Amino acid sequence: MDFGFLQNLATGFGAALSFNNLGFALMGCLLGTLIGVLPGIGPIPTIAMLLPITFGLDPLSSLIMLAGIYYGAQYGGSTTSILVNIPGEASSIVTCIDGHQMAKQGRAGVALGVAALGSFFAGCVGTVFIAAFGPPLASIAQEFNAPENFSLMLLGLVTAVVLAHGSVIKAIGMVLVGLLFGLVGTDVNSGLTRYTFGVSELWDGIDFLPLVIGMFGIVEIVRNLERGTLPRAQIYTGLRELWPSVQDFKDSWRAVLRGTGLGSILGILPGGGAVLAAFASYTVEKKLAADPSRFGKGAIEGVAGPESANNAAAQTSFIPLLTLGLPSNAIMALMMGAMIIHGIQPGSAVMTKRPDLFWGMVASMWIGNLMLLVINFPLIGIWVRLLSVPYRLLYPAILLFCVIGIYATNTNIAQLVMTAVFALFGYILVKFECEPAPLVLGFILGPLMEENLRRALVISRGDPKIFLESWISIVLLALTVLVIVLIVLPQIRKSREQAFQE
Amino acid sequence: MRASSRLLCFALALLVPGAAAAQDYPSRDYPRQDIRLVCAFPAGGGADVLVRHFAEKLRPIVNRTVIVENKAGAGGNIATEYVARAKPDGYTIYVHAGSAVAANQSLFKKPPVDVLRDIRVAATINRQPFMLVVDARSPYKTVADLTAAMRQKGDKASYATSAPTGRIMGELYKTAMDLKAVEVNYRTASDSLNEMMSGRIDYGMHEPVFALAQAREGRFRILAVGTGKRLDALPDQPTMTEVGIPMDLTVWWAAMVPAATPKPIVDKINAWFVQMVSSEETKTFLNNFGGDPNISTPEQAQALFERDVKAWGDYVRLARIEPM
Repeated sequence: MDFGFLQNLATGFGAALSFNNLGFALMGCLLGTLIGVLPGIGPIPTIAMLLPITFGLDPLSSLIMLAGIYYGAQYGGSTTSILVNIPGEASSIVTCIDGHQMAKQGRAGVALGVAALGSFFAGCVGTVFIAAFGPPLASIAQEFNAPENFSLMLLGLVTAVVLAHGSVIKAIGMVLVGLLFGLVGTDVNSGLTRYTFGVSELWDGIDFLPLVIGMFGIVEIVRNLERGTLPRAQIYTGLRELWPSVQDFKDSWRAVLRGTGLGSILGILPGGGAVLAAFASYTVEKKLAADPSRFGKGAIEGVAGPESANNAAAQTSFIPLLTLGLPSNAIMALMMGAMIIHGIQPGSAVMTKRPDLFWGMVASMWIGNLMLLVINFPLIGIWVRLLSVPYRLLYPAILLFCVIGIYATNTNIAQLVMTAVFALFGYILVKFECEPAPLVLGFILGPLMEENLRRALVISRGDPKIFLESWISIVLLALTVLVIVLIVLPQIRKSREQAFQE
Repeated sequence: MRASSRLLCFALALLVPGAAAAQDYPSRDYPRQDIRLVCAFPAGGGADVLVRHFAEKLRPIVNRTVIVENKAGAGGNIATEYVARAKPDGYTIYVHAGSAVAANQSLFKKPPVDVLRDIRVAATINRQPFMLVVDARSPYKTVADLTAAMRQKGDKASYATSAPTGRIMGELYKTAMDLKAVEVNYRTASDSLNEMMSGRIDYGMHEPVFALAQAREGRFRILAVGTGKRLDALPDQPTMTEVGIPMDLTVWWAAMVPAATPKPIVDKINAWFVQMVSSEETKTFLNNFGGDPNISTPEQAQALFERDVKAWGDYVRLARIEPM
């Protein structure tokens, strides 16, 4: 292996450690944490609005600040997932499942602490990963064409079923409903609109925010209000209960390692990389656990794994941008815009023509992660105390921020109507004990899967053998079959046991 | 109780000046209030950054706050409708591709407004080409090479498109050269990179930012541009017309206002954009997006708009695109 990257990293730290750049990193991280914590206000509009301000800055400083916002929002997003069950973005949905349960058991501090430490570790590994393997990894990502993408999404959807801790049938149903929601809007292949009922607001499909905030955030509030004056989860403010104990570390370090590995690899794939990483990690943890029934009831591995995975993926998602000039998600597209504004063409040329910029950014990723840890650890106590704010003050405030966040993204009332509809729908699902997480994953992955399926078949002129032409696709399909077997077998065994009992 | 009545008063106070100011839009002291630039992309999406660039540059010229208002959705129709129904007082300016607004009139079964009647182009901003590109490792050095090879390949040939302009360009090429290549649609041009490079796709009709970036990386070879005339930013690239496939597919950005906006205000907006577009900084900015600055009078701009609305009617029929 070539250790030249260490030399390069040193160049990078030299550039990133200037007083100015540290200041911008800090500013980005603070801002990111803040918007991450406010439900509904995501990093995309924030970065978009700050973009013009960065016109006048040095390119490295502005990229460092924007990147800081991005990681900061990732950290902040897990905070709201854990505390109030509102995922700020798709990749922290999985954190809600066990993280919020932990908070309800009075272990919010532990969940936040593990999430922060896991993310920091993953961030460090991700940084080294980019430095050492960036270019070769990018060439793997290039092997992902329509057939491979389809197989990957299929695997993702099948594993989504494992997310549910209740009935498998209901989980499959939820994935399918999510797929249907994902179909709404203009079809890429034919340009025709589907399920829009002539409502022009639906032509671009259903937005992620109204769906998630309606089904998670608002439903959570309604459920809590419904319980009325039941005793609240006890909030510990003593230091001992706030920090993860030695036992907690023992329980979670393996999950952190596995999550980091999964995240680093899946992050480089375009599209749903970070989302896939988070719940692939959850699936793995649940399958490996001695007692899978703890999951969904506050298992610490269910927080540690996915949080590490999504942060590692957040780091490595820079690889396609920095090496191929391909943005792998909306935020990367914005960063690409920022580079273009500064007259830098994203792509491998950045590494050779502007090594200070490339390596400075890589170094700043590590610095940003360290800053986030330093900012967030002391804040955990404050966040946890937030939970002791009376519901009559806390809930209206959360609702207000949700509404502002959704409206501000597109200044469109229709989005608020959709949020209300999804809140109602989510409430009905809760009453039928159907879980929303598989639905959201179906919603996100379904359209990507369909697009790639149809594209692959157009390219092969309708011949399904195209899915068996590359080893990547074959391996992914084989894994899919394996997961199906793993899901189905215990069911069969269970029903046989029930039959014996009768 | 008290709070709600106060809210009501506040809401009324907001309504009243709006009602009083109607009808009469004095252009002498325009602009007297904040200006909104309407963007048809979500914050951060698409070419949102281009709109924000002009918001930033307009601020010192008008000495007023310039707000970017994102009205995304329905392929830009939501923003178009919003602007068409806005007060024609010059405080709502739509910064978007005029060619796309013209195209939507034919791409949709029931366009929300009649753009020729409801929208007026105050100033043009740039002109951008779509590009015919191939894998740089492919043997095709010219459009003629590609055409010959694609004739041989018949219906086994495939090409990538994104966006309506790319689809039309593909159809015009196929019709002119009698090719049977199969179109593969992508949501964004960059989604197609892996397949373009794997050899499964023979060529692509792509937007300039993506095509230029990949050409610079040495992955693509640009064979021709779809505009009627060569671009100053790319003087060496032949047009499709020059190589025997007549077409004039130009993406042009513009500042648009409701049709009833008084002429003096339209002229003032035109003067601002001429000033911004002629600056060296904006020229570099536009070149980075693969286009030339494009300056015209309000009349020339409106004529271009009318021409494109008509042309797109023909394109959509030719390409047999089913209107939405």
